[in-house]
Amino acid sequence: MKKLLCAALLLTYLNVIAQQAHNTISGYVRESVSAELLTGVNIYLPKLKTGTVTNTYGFYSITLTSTDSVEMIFSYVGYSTVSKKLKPAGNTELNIELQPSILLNEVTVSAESAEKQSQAVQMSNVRVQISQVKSLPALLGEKDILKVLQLMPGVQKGMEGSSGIYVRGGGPDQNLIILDDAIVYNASHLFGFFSLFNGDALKSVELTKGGFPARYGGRLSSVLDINMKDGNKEEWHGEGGIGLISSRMTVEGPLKKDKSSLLVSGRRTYADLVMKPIMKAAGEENTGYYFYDLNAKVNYDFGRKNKLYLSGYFGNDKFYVKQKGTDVIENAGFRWSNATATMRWNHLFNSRLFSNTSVVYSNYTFAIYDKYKVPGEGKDYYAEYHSGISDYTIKYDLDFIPDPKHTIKAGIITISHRFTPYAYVEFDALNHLDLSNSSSTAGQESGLYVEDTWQPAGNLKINGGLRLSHFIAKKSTYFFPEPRLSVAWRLSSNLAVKASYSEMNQYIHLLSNTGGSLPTDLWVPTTDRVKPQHSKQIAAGIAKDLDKPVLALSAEVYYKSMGNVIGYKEGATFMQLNDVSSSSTVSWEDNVTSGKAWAYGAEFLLQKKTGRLTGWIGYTISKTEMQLDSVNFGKKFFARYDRRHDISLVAIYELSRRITVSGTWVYGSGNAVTLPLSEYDIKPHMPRPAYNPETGNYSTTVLNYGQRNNFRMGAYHRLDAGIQFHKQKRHYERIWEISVYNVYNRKNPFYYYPENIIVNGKTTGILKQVSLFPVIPSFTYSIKF
Amino acid sequence: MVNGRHILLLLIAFLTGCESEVNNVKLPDFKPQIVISAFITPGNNITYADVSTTKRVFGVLGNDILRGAVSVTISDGEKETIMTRSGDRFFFRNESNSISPGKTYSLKVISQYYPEASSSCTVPDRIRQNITLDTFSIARSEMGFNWNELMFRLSFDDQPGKENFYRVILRYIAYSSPTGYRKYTEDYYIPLEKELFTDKKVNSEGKFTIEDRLNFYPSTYNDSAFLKVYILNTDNSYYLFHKSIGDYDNNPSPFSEPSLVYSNINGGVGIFSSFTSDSLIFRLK
Repeated sequence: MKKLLCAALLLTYLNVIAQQAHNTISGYVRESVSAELLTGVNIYLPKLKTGTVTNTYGFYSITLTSTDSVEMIFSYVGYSTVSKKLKPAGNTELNIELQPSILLNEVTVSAESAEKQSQAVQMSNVRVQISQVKSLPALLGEKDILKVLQLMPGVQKGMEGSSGIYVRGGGPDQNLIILDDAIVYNASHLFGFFSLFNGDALKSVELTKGGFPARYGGRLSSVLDINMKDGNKEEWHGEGGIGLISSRMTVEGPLKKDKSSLLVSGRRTYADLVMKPIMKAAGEENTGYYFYDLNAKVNYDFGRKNKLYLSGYFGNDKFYVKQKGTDVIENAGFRWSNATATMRWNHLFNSRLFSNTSVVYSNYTFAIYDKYKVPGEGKDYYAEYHSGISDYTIKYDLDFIPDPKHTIKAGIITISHRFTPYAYVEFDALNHLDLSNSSSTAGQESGLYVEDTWQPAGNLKINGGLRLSHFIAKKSTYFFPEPRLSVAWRLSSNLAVKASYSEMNQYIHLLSNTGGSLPTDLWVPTTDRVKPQHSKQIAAGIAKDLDKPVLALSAEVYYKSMGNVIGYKEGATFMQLNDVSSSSTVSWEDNVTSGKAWAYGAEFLLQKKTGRLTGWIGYTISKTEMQLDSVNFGKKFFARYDRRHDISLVAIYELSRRITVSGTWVYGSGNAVTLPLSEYDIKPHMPRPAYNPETGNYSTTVLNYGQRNNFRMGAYHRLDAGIQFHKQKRHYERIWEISVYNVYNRKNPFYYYPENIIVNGKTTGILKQVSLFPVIPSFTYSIKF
Repeated sequence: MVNGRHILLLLIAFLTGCESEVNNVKLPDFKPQIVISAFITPGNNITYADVSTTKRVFGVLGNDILRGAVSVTISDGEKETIMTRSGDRFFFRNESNSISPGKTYSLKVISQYYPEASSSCTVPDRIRQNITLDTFSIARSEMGFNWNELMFRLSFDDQPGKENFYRVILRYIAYSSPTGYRKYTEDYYIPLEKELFTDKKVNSEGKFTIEDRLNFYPSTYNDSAFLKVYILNTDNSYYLFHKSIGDYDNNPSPFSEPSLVYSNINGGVGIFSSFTSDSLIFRLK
């Protein structure tokens, strides 16, 4: 009760402060065609050499101390720049509509108005334009924001074709992926080859790799903040496409003009249908795989003061085997699904105090099932194993802009986690078996933060903050303060030096045998035995904006130390999938080990965001080492995803109003891999000799690996290219796209294994490589109406 | 039943990958090393050390055997003993250099063609473990098979104030003399779900307790049957080596990290470690 009273008093106090006499200009920035609120629009006041950006909900506020007339420039990549002159008097509402820039009519971007990274205090931050994602070539034509993020420096891909991301030496579990405030636990379809984010339904994608503002917490390495489009408030539109393995369709439009809109977007693969004749020929006609996902969002604008959003995502992957004979009917398979639901309420207390309240549900489930019945004999059998995690979250955030020098954000979040490491049921009529067992644990994760973006001098900007994180586990409670600091010092109008320091804690962990992104990976909580992961990251760099041509150059170095990172012990797996009940006898805590990790490196990024030619060149040099108590006998080793060099070249060129060509080239030096140095026979100790029938003697043969990850795989490189043909028809625009993955058919290593072959009559050991995708052309037909 | 292999098979099937010999990666150079397997304990009349060589896994195989002269010596810091060779096995009789608890021993292998390999270990203290065994047996029968399920609670003294490593071994011994036949003995090792233990992170309060269950099939012809419990008080290397052998997977999935086998041999691979033991015989019949 006391806490509620304190919060109410604080809000009242802020409200009173905010209503004191100031000249505040505030409002929303929208897209002119759809009235979609725009996130991250740059607002610059050249005379005062200051500015701000719109928040996630398109809202901005600037408070001025003088009543002199000011010019405000609103700029956003892909939109025409708008300039407004006005004389502030008290609270002024200024809502802006930005016009999407038309192909070839390149927007004239002046040095003063362009979005400048040298002006922002934030570093280690990447914003991906959805239009760029849609223009770049993709594997099998499936556009994927996570794969575009992999092309950014500091972000590495995992396995070939996988959409998993490894940010600055962090594992895939150390990325906080949030879709409309909902945590997404397994962001992939088809074993990680496609991400579950459908670009047609997305508005903004922002990745933070370091210098984390205090509003973010819960993961060590990155925050990927994704927001869905609100839906067109002006008129009904749609877009859809037919590709090689899936089709997609999005419809959006006003439920009540300028007040309420709806967006529904869906995808489904038809690999199971396409493959059916092939599987039939192979005698496996009853085996198949598919995935689908559905995004939906509805919102209502109650006016300037209140806005309400409801959004949700549901996606499902399923592999199935069905047998229908006269003797037995069997239905078996495995499936995994993600579901999120978010309700957000924006409330504007006044022109300088904005709030958002979110109530969120998120769930991830993996299941294996097997069901068969013998008709007429009553010999039914059913078994199902499943694991997963579900969350209920309440979050409250405030944006407070008291004066031109301060932008304060504060908030509170609490998440109720429910972990189910395993649960199974088994019913066997023949053997009179009716078993069920499950293991569930709860965890309460909370955070309280305050941050201030402060401009003490014209050329100095500081974002300082503190986050208090808290976790209640079964037998223990953890509390950590997390200081955050980012500083940007402008040396000139186009050049800034930046530095940041952040501490993060992570209370939930992903157990993975593969380091990849398989659905069997398991989310588990911090307990009294498994401590929270902790990181400290320091980064420094420069940001330089060039005027002609308009380019943005950034160079950063970072060092990150991580404690209590966990992994499986040598040879341990959580679940013996051959035996659904085996996991009940294994405690996951007994099978994990913890230790430290260190990551450091340098990143360079040169971006061209405007004009007919857009794209970037990225380069990363990095090193990631780990030390886990029960792995590699406690000695330090290179992380599996450690890669020394990464280069990416990305280009999109508008040849004409109707034709766009694009290409990406990536190069990565070899990943760390464990290869055997030799093999030997060894005799373990027994009280009496134990005969080994496999070797015919009393010893066992083992491979001598020396150290874990003691070698490097071959380098990875690949060129993808694509061309899009746009044509405006009477009622719609159609786009034909041809893209080619792996243009020069590079056989990149997926994994290695030793094999013995006979050469000239002699047994010879060789190392074999399995490569995945050869050159793969794909065609996609899309329409927009 | 769908299982983990199906997931991997499906994954591979989807990928339609191609295989080729790797020729752009520098393969590990093969440098043959000495392999040692030796476990020393006080009280044995003969102490053995098995010595062999590593074998290549890349290139022409089958030619890597222990060649040339090999000398194995063991020393307690005061006295050095040259072990006698018998094939790949070296031994010495304890009258020439007896193994004592608390002492540190060094083993050294010098050979004509291989780098010198050496290791050392300290024999754990020999203590009376005061083993107690409480059992509860249930006769089981299903589909014509009869067996006994034995639940047991094993306790033994734990040295407080230090980290200890234990191995528990069970042996089933039965004697019978059916009429008209000559006497015979059944003697076999009973594998336990878990044999290796450490008291790290365990508040043993001077007593270490293990609870487990096992199935055994007592022959109706046996006149008597016994369970012999060995408690091995081992050094850390013994524990780590046997744990790693237990975890070793000789056919690992390409998507998971291979498990490594522990070695404490400098200049070679293998194990040189020590233990002391105490035992208890429990009469089952």
